[in-house]
Amino acid sequence: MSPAVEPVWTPASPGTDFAGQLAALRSAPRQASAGVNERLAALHGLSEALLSGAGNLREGLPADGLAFLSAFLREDNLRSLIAREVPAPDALSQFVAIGPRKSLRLLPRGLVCHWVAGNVPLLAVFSWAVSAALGNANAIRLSSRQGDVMSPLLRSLAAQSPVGRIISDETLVVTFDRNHTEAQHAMSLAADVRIAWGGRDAVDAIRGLPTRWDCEDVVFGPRMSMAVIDPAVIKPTAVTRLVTDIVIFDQLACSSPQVVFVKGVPDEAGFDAFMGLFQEAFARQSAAFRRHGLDFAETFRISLDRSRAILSGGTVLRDGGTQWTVAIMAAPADGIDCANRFVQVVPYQSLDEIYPFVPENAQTCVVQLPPQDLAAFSEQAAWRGVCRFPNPGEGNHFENPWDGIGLVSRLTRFVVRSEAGR
Amino acid sequence: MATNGELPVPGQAAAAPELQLFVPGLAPFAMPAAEKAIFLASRLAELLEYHRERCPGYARLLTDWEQYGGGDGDYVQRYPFVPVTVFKEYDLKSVAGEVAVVRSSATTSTQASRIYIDKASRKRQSRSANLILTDFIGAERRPYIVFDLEETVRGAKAFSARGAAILALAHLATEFHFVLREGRDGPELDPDALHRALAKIGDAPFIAYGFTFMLYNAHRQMASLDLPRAHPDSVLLHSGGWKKLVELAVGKPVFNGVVSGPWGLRPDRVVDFYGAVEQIGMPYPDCSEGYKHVPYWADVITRRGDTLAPAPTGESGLIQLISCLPLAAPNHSVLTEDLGRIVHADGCPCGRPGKSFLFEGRAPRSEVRGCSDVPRR
Repeated sequence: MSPAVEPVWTPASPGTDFAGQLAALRSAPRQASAGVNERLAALHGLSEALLSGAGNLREGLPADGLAFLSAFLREDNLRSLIAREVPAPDALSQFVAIGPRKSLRLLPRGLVCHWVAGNVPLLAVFSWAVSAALGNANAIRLSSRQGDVMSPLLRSLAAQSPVGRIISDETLVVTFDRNHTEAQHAMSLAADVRIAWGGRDAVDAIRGLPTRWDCEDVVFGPRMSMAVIDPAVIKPTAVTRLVTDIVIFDQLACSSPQVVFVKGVPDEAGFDAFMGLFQEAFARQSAAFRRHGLDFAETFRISLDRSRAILSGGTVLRDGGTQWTVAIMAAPADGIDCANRFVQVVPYQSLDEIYPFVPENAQTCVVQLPPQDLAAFSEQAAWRGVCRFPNPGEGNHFENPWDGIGLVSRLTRFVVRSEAGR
Repeated sequence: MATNGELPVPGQAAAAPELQLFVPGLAPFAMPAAEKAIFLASRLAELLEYHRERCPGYARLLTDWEQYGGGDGDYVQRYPFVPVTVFKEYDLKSVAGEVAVVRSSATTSTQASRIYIDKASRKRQSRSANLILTDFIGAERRPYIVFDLEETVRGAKAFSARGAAILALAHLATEFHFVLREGRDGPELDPDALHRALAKIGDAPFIAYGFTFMLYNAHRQMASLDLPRAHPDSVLLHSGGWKKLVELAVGKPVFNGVVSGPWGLRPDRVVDFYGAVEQIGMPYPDCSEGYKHVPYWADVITRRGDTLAPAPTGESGLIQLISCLPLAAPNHSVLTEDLGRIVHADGCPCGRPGKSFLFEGRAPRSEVRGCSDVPRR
């Protein structure tokens, strides 16, 4: 295999080359390795280490999202994510009855290969943690545009407990150029499950790689997100949380709101009061969270999109530089690129005005609405494509299901047994 | 009129800018820096109010600019700019009634810019191009070989970027010789037309012009022709994108060799000039050192990625082009998608005083930004 495959984290007994490492990982016997309860406990230990900062674990990891990662890895959280999807979670350990004459057992599918996008560095950890908890081996290809988020975690995990060591030994982390055909093919052909994160080009490229006929594909592809807010029911703290959802990953995540629908009309007290809080929070949170350095094209685009919003009749609220922009528009403007802390605010008076603007590739809709409106809106918007309706502050919180996909089902093999003699 | 470095306040009377922009007898690059700063601030302040009163879209952009500011720096560095793409998507016009429209080449963009030009602007543009090019290649009029189709300057096509660039040199021409014809795959060399032109020109010095890629293609074909050596004072000018040549891995030294070779000219007789359809009348030819110079009625600022703050000398940035010429539309200060860097604040070895800069090509497209990079559908 070409030396252009850079090992980032290599299991204890690797093969001789990348293809050999993948084969060794896939064929390693896992029946006698740790069970789900021990695995969840080991991941919980990692969460504790993140909280306490033991062994300088937090150094070298991106600050954005670290607190959420710590919460995500807690045993009760992971159990809850599994229980949302599997009616009998004990089936991960043994056959359990699921009816009068049937039992169910869930087994890991084998080797799960993750292609991680560079836009949100911690994405790799979420899909890896769920997969590892369910007993799979994992191979992770990190984007060349992101730092190594995995090694510090795996090193800490291996040092904590024998089970932590097992999980880290079942994990291979590499980086290679996206055009490295040989490596791409090797990873794809070894996979029992392929998890692809990223934009259209990235996920299409991965889906086009040769693979086993029974390989399961989990595609977290290109989607857009939004928010719907009624100023009458949102508190100032929630406004700050909503802004954090927009600001935190520079809107590079598919769960980052790009358009915020706000009930009311400009120059009306409720709407204007909300906009005052929103604008203030945008300035504050933009200063609080460091933004990635924009390239020339991104910077030009901010200047261009501000001009587009103004010339299209919108009102632009912004800083004196290029840090943040809020464009109040009569309707979402498709030509405006809502990235790098550029959000469109669209006033509405009736929820019916919003539905035509809910795209079928919608992912997240952050909501803060009165209960009756929430019930009506979420039913309609879900039919149109929205996959989740979190509260402000939870927009980017990875959860199961994600993108409408139940991850536990995709990462396990469902085995049923008829009970004898009944 | 504001001349003290402050932007004029809204509502201030907008006098019609003087048509006589140019200082009689003053060479384009000869105005001392301090004097130029005052000259430019005064003319640009005038233009700002002129366009504010006549172009409602520009007035809205100014309201935003005045509310949030244009950052730090001197008057010109804080002066408002319009991103060039705006001229592809919106009709910004400061004159009523029918005026000419110049459209950019659509070879590298999906949509063409629409730049309005009135009679007064055209006169200023013509005078500006005349003064700049005279400073580089002399005032003597010569036969003009055009590496393009004659139709490019006829009728509506004269208002294309190619047509405008060809006509920008017209004042230097004693006669025109168009030497390309329409071929199966686009314009191609017409050897008969070229031989006819050379027979008429004889051994006199000439000027020639073509869009960069067209000039290159024609000269590749000319390599097999038996051409007479050109007079050593002849000069071959070109402008336009390098994208296709970069794809062919052809750099400037190779290009200059290919173009000068058939004529027996020195490679430095091939002169690249930078310009934009949004700034017609402002050619920026390479000097003998390979740099571009800014006349007293214009300025060039490079702006940093990430912040758009003015980049210091030596640092690459997005090029902002400023000129006092346009009266029909507010394209007097535009932010381009081109990259360049200021090489000298003053003191270019070529002897021209003032700022010199280098054009470094189009800013690369952003990397695909991830799973949120998707149209709403």
